Amino acid sequence: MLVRTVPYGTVDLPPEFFVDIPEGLPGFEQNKKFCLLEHSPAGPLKWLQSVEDPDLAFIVADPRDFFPGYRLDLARADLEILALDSPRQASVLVMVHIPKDPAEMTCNLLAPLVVNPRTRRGAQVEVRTAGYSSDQSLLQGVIPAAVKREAAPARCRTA
Amino acid sequence: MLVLTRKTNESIVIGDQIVVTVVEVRGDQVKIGISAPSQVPIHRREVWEEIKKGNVRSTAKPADMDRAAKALGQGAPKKPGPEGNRP
Repeated sequence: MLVRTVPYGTVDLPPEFFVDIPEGLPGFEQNKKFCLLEHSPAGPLKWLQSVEDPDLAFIVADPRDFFPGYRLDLARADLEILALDSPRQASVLVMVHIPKDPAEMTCNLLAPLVVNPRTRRGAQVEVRTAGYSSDQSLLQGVIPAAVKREAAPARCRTA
Repeated sequence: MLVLTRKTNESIVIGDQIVVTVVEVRGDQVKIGISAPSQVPIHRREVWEEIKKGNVRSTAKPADMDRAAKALGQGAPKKPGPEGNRP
């Protein structure tokens, strides 16, 4: 499928590059289909490119490349939405913010993009682990030990 | 804004699939139960705003990536085109 991208112009991508995010991302709900592009094969930073909007791309990273102890503790409802039995089955990416001085770059550990690799569907969800920041310094890799905090908004199915 | 008065254990129905129930009132804290279809996103407002702000700040152009990659020693972008990354 041909996709117009921020970093590489128009590229032809096979299906395994795509991720569906049916709920969209907060602030960008109209974008439901994305593709993941490497910047450089060895590096931790990747592009999350909107398929619908060629001018919209985010920089993302696997948080465990920076914080090996990162714990993905998800509400059962979020696991159900993603058709996951366990967070261990998920791929996880966090949004990375690059300010003018890249030494001050931060990432959002509080609300990662969680993807089921089998269905290639994802959602940006709030983790239930206490102390994770939406504005975590990426290069000062100390995060609080994983402690469960009060649950993210609980929800029960109506059907 | 519609304002309704409810007591503990009373509910509000929104549409035909969402029910909001006052579970407990203690001082200035209200515990609220929400029944909604799983595809309806539910967030505490301030958290949702924080996530939204973070997303807006994380939109990026190639110059941002180059700057960050350099800081991480990730090297120059490989041209042409991307390498695959299976989610």
